[in-house]
This record gives sequence, C-alpha cells and structure tokens, in this order.
Amino acid sequence: MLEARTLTKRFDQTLALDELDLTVEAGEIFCLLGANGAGKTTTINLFLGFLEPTAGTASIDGLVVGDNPLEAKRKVAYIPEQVNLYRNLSGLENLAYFTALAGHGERSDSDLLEVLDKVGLDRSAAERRVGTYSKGMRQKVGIAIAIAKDAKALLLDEPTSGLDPKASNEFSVLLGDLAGRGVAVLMATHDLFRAKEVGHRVGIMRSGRLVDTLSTDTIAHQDLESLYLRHMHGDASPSSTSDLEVAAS
Amino acid sequence: MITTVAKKELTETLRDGRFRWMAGVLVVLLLAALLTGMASVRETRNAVAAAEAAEGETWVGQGERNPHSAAHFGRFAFKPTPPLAYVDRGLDPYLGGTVWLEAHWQNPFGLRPAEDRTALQRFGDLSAGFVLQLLIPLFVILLAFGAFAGERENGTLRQLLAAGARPSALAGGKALGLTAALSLVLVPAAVCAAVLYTVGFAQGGGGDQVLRGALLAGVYLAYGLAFLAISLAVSAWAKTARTAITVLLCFWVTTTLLVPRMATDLAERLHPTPTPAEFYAGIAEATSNGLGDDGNSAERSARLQQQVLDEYGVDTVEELPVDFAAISLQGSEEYSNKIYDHFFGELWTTYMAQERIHRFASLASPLLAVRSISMDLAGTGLEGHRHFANAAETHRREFVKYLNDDMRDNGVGQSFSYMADREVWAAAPPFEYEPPGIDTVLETGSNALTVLILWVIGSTLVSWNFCRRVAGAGVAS
Repeated sequence: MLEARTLTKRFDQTLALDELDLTVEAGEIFCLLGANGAGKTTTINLFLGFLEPTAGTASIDGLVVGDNPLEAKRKVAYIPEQVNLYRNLSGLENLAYFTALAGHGERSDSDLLEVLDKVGLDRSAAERRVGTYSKGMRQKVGIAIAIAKDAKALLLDEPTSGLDPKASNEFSVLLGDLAGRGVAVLMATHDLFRAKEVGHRVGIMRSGRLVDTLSTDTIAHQDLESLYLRHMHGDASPSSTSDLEVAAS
Repeated sequence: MITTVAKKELTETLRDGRFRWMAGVLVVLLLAALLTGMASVRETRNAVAAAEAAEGETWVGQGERNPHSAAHFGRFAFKPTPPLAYVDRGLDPYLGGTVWLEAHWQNPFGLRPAEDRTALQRFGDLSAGFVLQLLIPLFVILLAFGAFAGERENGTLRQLLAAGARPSALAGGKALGLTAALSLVLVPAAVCAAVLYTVGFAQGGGGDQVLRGALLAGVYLAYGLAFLAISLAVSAWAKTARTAITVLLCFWVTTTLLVPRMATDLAERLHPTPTPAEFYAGIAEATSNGLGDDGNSAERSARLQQQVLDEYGVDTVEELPVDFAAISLQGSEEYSNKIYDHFFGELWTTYMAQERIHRFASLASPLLAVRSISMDLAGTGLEGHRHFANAAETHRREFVKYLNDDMRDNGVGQSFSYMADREVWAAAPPFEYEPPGIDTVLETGSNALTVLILWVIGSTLVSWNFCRRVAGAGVAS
C-alpha cells in the first residue's frame, strides 16, 4: 500500500505540498484531482523518490522511500501521461528490459508475451517496434510493466490524457484488473469522469493541500464536478462535502 | 543488470540507421587509410632498399680517388621505415628519412614528402593515425551524447529510474554497450591491420613489432574510452541532447584542433627554432672564428701543428712520419664536430623545451599525449628520429675519420695526390642501424603514457560522479 505522513515539499518560497496525510490500501484506486500546480505530480515524484521531502515520509508497502529508494521503486510501477519507451525496440523487448531493470531477472519471452496479451497486445503487436505504437498501446505496455514486475503499488500521472474514449475505457478496465489483484493505485488526473468511473476514492488538491477526500460510491458525476469547481474557486470546505455525500446517499 | 543495459544499448545502437552509416564510413576510411599506408610504407621501403643497393655500388665503384675527396663524395644513410609506420607516419614526412654523410658537414635530412605537398594536402593527409586520433573521438561523441541526455529528453530515463534501475548500473551498462558498438568499428580495423601486417611484413618486425602493435591498440582503446567517459559525463549533466552535443563538439574542437595548434604556436613563441639560414650562419661563424676562446681557424691550425710536431719530436711538417694534411683535416673535422655538438645540442634543447610545452598542453588535450605515444610506438616520432640522427652522425664521424686516417698513414709525402682504391672503399665501416627497442620507447614516452592514464582515470571519475547523480537531477519534472 501507499502511505504519506505529513508529507511536505517546499521549493524555495513555494509550498508545493503541505502536510499530506494519505493512505491508499491494497486493491484500492485513489484518484487525485486538482488544477495544474495543485501538488499532484509533486506527490507522485515524492513517492518515486525523485524529490526529497522537506518534511514527513512517503512509504510503499511499508518501506520509507527516502530510506530505501531502490527497494521501494522495485515495489512500484509508474505510468506517466506519456509512457516513454525505446522506439527502436519492440514492445516485448521494452517490457523485458524494464522488468529486468526492476530486479526481476530475465523473464522468458513466453511469460512476457502472456502479460502483453493480458493487456490487449497480441504477439504481432508485441513484436513490432514501439515507434509504430499508438499512445494507447504504449500505455498498455506501461500496465504490462506493472504486472510483469509484480508491483505492489501503481502511480499514474494523467495516464488517460489524450487517449480516445475507447482506449481510455480499455485502460480503465486494466486498472480495475490490477486493483483486483491487490495493487494499490494512486492516479493523478484532471479527468473527473474517469476518476469517478475507475476510482474507489477521490481526493481534491488545491495549492499543495489535500482539501477533500470522498468515496466515489457516494457522489454523482455532476456533484463531483460541482464540488471540484467550488474547491478550485476556494468557496467549498470539507464540511460541504459531507452534505453532498449525505445528499447523494 | 549492467549486461542487460549493455545489451539493450547495443541492440538499439545497431538498429539506428545513423550509427550504421557512420560506422560504415569510418570502417571504410580506416581500411582505406591502412591500405594506402601499407602501400606507401612498402613503396618507401622498396625505394630505400633500391637506393641503398645503388648507393653501395656507387661508393665502392667510385674508382681511384683521394680519401678526403671520397669523404666529400660521401655516402647516404637511410632511416629504415618501421613496419608500423603504415598506421602512423608520424613526423617522418616532415623530418625526412635520409641524410648525406660527408666530411665537415652535418647535413640536414632529405626525403621529406611533406615538402612536395600543398598545404591542403597536408591537412587532408589520410592515415590510420589521423582517423583514430581525430575521427574516432568524434564518432564516440556522436554515439554517446544522447546516452543520458537523450533519454532524459525522451522521458525514458525517468521511466527507467522509476522502475528501480541503479544509476551506476545504467552508467556501466551504457559504457559497456557503447564500447561494444565502438568495437564493431575498431575490431575489424584491428584485424585488418594485423592481416595486412602479416602479409606485408612477413620477414620484418618480430616480437618487438607485435608488442608495439598491441600497445598501440591499447593506447587507442584507452583514448576512445576517455572520450566515452567524458561524453557520458556531459550527457549525464546536460538537460537536453542538444546541449550535450554542443558542449561535446566544443570539447572535441578544443582538444583536437585548438589546443594542439595553440601548443605548437606557444612552444615556437617561447622557444623559437632558428631558421636554417640562421642556424647554418651560426655554424659558419663558429667554424671561422671558433667557439669561446678557441681562436680562429688559423690559430687553431697553428696550435694543432705545434702539438703534432711536439708529439713526434720534430721541428717541421716535412719531418713528420705521417701526412700532416690528413691530421689537419681530421683536426678540422673534430673541431667541426665540437661545433655541431654545440649547435645541434642547442637545437635539440630547443626541441625538448618545445616538447615540454606539448607535454603540459597534453593535460588539456589527450590528443597530444596519444599522438606522441602513437608516433613513438610506430617508430616515427621525434625521439626515434633523434636516435637515428645521432647514429648517422656518429657513423659520419667514424667514416670520415677512417678516410682521413687512411690518408694520414698511407699518403705520407703525397697528401692530396694520394689515391686510394676500391679495397679502401669496401673496407669502410658500414652503417648498421638498430632502432630503439620497446623498452627505450616506453621509457622516453612514459610522460605521455602517464598523461593518457591520468585522462582515463580522471574522465572515468568525472563520469562516475555525474552519472550517479542522474538519479536526482533533471528527472523530477
């Protein structure tokens, strides 16, 4: 699982993340919503060990990232807005490479082809060079990497941005499958609809603070949008969220 | 993990059409340089062998002549062209390969192909040494500039680090993979060079040349690795591939073109070499008026005459049991030797002072260190030339003394009317030259070798330092 305890990051005078307390349980999909600069990507970078926290801790499956950076990274998979792969290598070769670097040794081609097949890339696609892939196919390779490395947690940063609705939907299904295997998923996104569809909980961030957290079961699409916009304009409070949750139920 | 990264780097590089083109062009250039170098060396060796044989015949068959006249007729000494000159012609085209040995004069070297070339031809001289010293570093830079910077720009570096890859393994794997790619160019060239050597110089060289060849290969490998380490360091430091390639090309231009040029100019400015006219005018002046308190030629001649008369206990030259003219010639010869030792000694001191400037400059340009070692190992460097020049001069003195002694002992009362014949010419000491062995070369080249090793160690440490920081810098955004 993923856990942040009073996680804080300051860049000079700017407070990018302010005492974030967050737990994403195994099998749970937690979506972080927020405008640009709200602190979503900073949160993910802190979990990935790309940034040092100013205060607090980020842990993955019980390992504090700052204390065990490599071990922690080996328990997590990361899918950014653009899954960047090696254009001159095939999908299969990319998967083999990333899996081996994650400390899983060299897996057999048949194992890896099976994983790629699970995410919707058949053998002919898997053996083609990634330079010919669509964005959706590259995102699927990203998911395959998470499966192949047997990640305990998955961090996603705007993964469905730019995907067509079909690819986006397929991606959501794959995420659901991963959560079903017990993977803790933290996804930063602008896509309220996708967050509501795929997430178990959503958190709204504003100016580095997690200003609201709610279960997606308890809120309708338009209410989530309304609440989000009110938070963005600064005229909502967590208490008003509770009212909405009651109303929705 | 290092092997995994190396395999991936090699696969990706081999699939890159730009690499295939560059590598193909380089292999062709190297092979062409080796073939033309081999042809040129064989042509020179054949020409020298023919000239040596003809010169020997001419010397022995010159007919009856006064020995001192024969000393002016003179002989030629030919510098053997070492087999490895086909890899690096070094300074031979500029310093010359033959010298005319005659009485009184230490002549400058001839057979300098560089004199017959235009300035443009000199710049474009294609030798394996030129390709290895200038183009291989450029190839390494083009191969490695994107190793980290390109991945950072493409986002794959972030992806890799997020996957749990160790920066040290990435650096080691990339270095290994790129070295393997580089070896795809160098190994065929080395094999071809070895085959050409075996075919071309079946009877020449032996173990010493093989060892030199192996060391030469090691030196160029170390040189390539130093550039690879620097390229990886810059690539790890630069935020974009464009910045990396710009910095590295500036480095290449500075270290391979600017610093060597500046070092040469600085050396010449700080320790100017006299022009040939100045140099020989100084020798002529010293010959007439003497060095220091030695007195002019008439005074020196009078002193010698008195010394000889005292030695034989006689009062006049006519009473001497030997030919005084010959003794006087030899005395003049020995004094001119002293003058040459003085002036050539100063000239070599100037060359060595210039060499020291180059040595210091090699701290800023590995090319200077490699060029020096390469020439020395190939036997075409300054030290090799100096060794031959000293041997030729020593022989000139022995040769002239032999002829003067013959006139002294056999020309009593005849002086310049005395004629020697074929028997005397045939018995003249032959010029037998043995180039310096590998141990001497390593001793004289130890400074340049040390500098090259420092470059390799220094660049590896810098590279290591930048590469291990890749985990943090430039991947967060």
